Amino acid sequence: MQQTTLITQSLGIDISTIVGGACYELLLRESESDKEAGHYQPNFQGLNRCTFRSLPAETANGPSSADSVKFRRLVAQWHSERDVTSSVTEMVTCPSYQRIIGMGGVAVPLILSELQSEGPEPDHWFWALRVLTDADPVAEEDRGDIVKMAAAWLEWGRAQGYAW
Amino acid sequence: MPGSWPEGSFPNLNTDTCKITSAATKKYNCLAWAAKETHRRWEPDRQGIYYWPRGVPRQMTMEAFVLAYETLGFRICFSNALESGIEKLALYGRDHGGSVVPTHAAVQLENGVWSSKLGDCEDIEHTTADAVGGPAYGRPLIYLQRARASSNF
Repeated sequence: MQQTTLITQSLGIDISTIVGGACYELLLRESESDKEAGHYQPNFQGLNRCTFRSLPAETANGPSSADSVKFRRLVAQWHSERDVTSSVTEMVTCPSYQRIIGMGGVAVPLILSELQSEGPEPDHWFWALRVLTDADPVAEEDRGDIVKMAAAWLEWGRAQGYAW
Repeated sequence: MPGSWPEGSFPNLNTDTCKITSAATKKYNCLAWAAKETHRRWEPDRQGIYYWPRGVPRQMTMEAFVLAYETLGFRICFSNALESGIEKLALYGRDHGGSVVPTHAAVQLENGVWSSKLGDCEDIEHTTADAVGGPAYGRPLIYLQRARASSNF
């Protein structure tokens, strides 16, 4: 069994000061004695059996409260701006949507959170996610199936270490 | 009308000309609906994020839209009149800076009324192809037809 935890949460030190502002995830492997104890208590001894994995820069800083407020305001504006068009291409050229893209990488976890909260009726966030991340996690046969597209992006986000 | 579309988008729709036939959803759009698909959206986006028939240019042009439906056996025709055994489809467009931008597709049912998915809003049946004309979709510009399959709608 492998436990994953952010070093800043588990060990109380800020690794970003060590590695120049980049964010890393510490993967701690539970030992047999830990299993016997029924729990795992991260400590510095654990560092000799851990690995580091690079996380997206947005994870290091995370969206601020101001970012979240701005995002929510732009989402509301986008909903009011877009007309009854069937064209996603037209929807994503709305000024508010473009301003969300303009927020840069900090918008990614906010969009992933929004996507997850929308459940079986995901909104048209795929364009922004593609532009902001340059990733393309959707299988060819799932293109256009927005439920499967949302699931693919949420899975991608988790694999990249985004938290929302 | 009790639909979820913005007021004023379809000035010709009223209780005499329109009947809502589904709940609102984003899972498919009018282009997919006219192709009898309700599990995915059709979109000619250049990034290839959404489904678009293979080999058809990803362009917001009437020509590309016609080619997309030609992959399903539709061919251009010159009448929107009901014909037995023939399924018809209307492609809508509006003027945008001197060029025509495709906006919508509707399909004719066997009883002669038309069926549309309005954006991310509801599906409706409308008495004429012109009924969904207006500021949102412009007007029907091209009609297509193919032999009607017995299982259609």
